[in-house]
Amino acid sequence: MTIQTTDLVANATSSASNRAQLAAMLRDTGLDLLGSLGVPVQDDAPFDPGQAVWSDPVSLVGFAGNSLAGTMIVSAPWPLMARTSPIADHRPEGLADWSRELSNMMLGGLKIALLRRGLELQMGLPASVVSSDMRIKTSSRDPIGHRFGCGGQDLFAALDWMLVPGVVIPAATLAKEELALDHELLLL
Amino acid sequence: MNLKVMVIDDSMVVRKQVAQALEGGGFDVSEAVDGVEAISRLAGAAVDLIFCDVNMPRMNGLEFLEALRATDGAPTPVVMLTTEAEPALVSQARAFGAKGWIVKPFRPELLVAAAKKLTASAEPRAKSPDSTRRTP
Repeated sequence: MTIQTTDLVANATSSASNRAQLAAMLRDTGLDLLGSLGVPVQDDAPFDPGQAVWSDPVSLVGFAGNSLAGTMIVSAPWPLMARTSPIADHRPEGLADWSRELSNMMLGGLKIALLRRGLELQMGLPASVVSSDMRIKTSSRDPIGHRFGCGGQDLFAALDWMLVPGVVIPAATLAKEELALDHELLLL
Repeated sequence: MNLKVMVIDDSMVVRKQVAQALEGGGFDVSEAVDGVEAISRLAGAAVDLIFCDVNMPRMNGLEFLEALRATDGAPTPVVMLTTEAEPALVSQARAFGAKGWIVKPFRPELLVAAAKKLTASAEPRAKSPDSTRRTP
């Protein structure tokens, strides 16, 4: 990968449309993911990650590409982690593991949405922390946050992002079918 | 004797989820946390099918595929089970001999169907040590 951090700006010069596109992709990814986990979202709304006080397990996973880099942040209260977990073991270490996997799947979904727009990125490995009162300093001047309300418990997803100046995130050009993303077995 | 499947994933929850699904489908399941542990375990006990994550510490899924092909004379079918859907990665996995690709999140019944499809003609592998180290 040849990314130069000096090529990236903390979206100081990014257009509103880029941010809007990323925000829409983050929202759609979260809705799809929670729906596929059998936890329908009753209400959802943007929030400001720069003002957020994070608690419970918080998972972060970094990403980088030639045009876009940043961090995906996901957090939800323990009961919601337990509701979405596919296994019955709800010990904290298992739920923290699941929190990392959720952040990984959120970023994977976002990556697919970006791939459909011709933007490639590489994903890092997720890490998690457990906190009751944590603030996250973002690099972005305008980080994106979205709250997904699931029956009285909220999952929070945030995107700290940096874009190469001049890059415009286009509309999706690749159909879903052109990527291995239908969650079925693709025979190779 | 049941057919044997190995799941390689750095997430304990995913490993347990896959194991739960496949054991329910009549498979014996072993686990490895990454490619390094998988290669080590496979040297001692062959399996009939492998489900493998892509993004893992120490040795990722594609590196594992490459290492497996270097040692596995009679290639064990591998299905990549990952959040990734990038065509370049899929092509790389295909080049390294992967037989399938499933994007997470997955339905447990899909794993069982995939396992049955890809082991349809397999005889359960012998338990003897080093049975993966066959010559072509």
